Amino acid sequence: MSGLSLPIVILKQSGFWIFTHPFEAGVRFLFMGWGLALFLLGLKKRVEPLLLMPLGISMFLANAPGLHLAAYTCTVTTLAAAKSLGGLANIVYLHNGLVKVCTPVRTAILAWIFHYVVKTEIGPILIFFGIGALSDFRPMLSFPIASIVGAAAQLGIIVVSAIALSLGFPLGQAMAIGVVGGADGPTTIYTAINIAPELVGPLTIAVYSYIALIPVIQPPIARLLIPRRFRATKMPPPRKVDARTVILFWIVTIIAVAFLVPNALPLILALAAGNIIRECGITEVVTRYGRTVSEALLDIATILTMFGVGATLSYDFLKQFVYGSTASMVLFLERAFMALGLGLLAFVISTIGGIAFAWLLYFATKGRVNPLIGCAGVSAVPISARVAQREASRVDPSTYILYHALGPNVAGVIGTAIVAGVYIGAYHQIVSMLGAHP
Amino acid sequence: MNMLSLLTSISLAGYGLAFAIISLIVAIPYLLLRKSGAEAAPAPSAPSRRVEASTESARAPPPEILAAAIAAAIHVHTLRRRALRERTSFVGIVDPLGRDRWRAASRLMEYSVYERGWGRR
Repeated sequence: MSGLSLPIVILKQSGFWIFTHPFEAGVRFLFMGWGLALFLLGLKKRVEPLLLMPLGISMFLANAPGLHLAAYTCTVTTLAAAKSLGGLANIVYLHNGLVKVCTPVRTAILAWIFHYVVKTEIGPILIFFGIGALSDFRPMLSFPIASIVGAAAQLGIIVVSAIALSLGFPLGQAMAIGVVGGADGPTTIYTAINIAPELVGPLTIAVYSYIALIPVIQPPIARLLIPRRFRATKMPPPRKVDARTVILFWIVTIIAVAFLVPNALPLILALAAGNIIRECGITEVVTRYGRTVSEALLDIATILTMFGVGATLSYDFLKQFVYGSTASMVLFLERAFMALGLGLLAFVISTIGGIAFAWLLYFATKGRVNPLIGCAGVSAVPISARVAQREASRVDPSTYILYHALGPNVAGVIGTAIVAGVYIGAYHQIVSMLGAHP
Repeated sequence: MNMLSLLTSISLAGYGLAFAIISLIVAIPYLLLRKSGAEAAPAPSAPSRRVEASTESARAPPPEILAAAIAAAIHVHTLRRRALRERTSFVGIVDPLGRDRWRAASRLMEYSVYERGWGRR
């Protein structure tokens, strides 16, 4: 061994070697700065701390020079050979029927978390399980007509996915960007994993950032579209709903979704299971299981999912999806930032769609529905329902629409899952028919 | 069929299905609920004036009243000190900076406040 090569060997395995590749260093530091900003946003400003803090830590660590916690090894092979390897490897479609099969290196712990928690869909499904145990679906049944607003507020998904496709995004990415408009974090992750895994990181950041910003985004839209006196519209008292009705509602939901949108079933089933634990009425089950599912399990699933998602916003993860050159990485980053902007547009259009349908209900019921509950159609439970209540209280403090607004709010969760399920199913059908990714 | 029109039809199908499924899943339990004649839940409304009046005495005083009370106490304290200075300078029995000044102040305060009255100083 020559004395001259030893410093180079030591330098190569240190983080300083990164400076010999200025572009890679730039991308890594960009993501590290972004991760640090998200971490501080959660820590100092209390913006979704449970989500943004692990996400920020993961982004920072996954890009730290020399650590390679999200590193992959890739081999080029044929599609048939790749399929025989099993489902966990990332498969990137190349030209001429060839594919790149990528698996995490043994020590890349964040990449493994991504593979076992996020790519297997366990993370988003467990989060839905916890949300089910945490949420009350009675408002949806106590004033059923208002719950349909939850379907109308999916307008942003269909408009923005068409816009994204027109802007040159591939079909899968365009659909996944649209789903951000549903304002549902786990559904966005679930959709992106299925049809656009390379965008799972940017879309997760987009959806959770905009959910946190709902109290800023929605009030101006509501004030613009609803004149002051209509915002004070009082709604009739809701009907009493017993636990038996809630369980019947879930049975009907599971049957309907299983037959019509089977791709949305894992999410809906998890939501139903969580909520049935809450509603089953057996005290011991409710207190022990309910508490575990809605607190400990939900927190563990959220933290691990965010660690996995953070790993996707790293140079090591992204380089398997772009084809080596600097220009394609720059193009990918441009698109990621464009997706963030389109996600905001989807949020705004969904809110407009919800309010427009709430207006329709206002006239159809002769003024028994406050148009503000349209804001709550986007499924950010319970932030958007709170925004509706706050806007109503500002005009008339004796107007109480929070309970009514929670109906479209939880219906929005189901609505987003249904549209996402249709997208996932249709996308896989198109891929199998075309034999390639459109 | 180009990709945009394909996506639009898929989207509209998804949107329609969301409407159909949500309508269906809330309608069936609702119809059964109506049949069983469930009564209306108590409205989550603001407490009535009567209830508010009856519970008013049990409530803690609002912060404005507390602030006003503290301000009044400070004002009385200032008056006491002023009264102390005036009385001691006139009578000449207590050193205003001495150890007994607070006890003296309270005694003199009673005298000055009750004898001379508020607002006539």
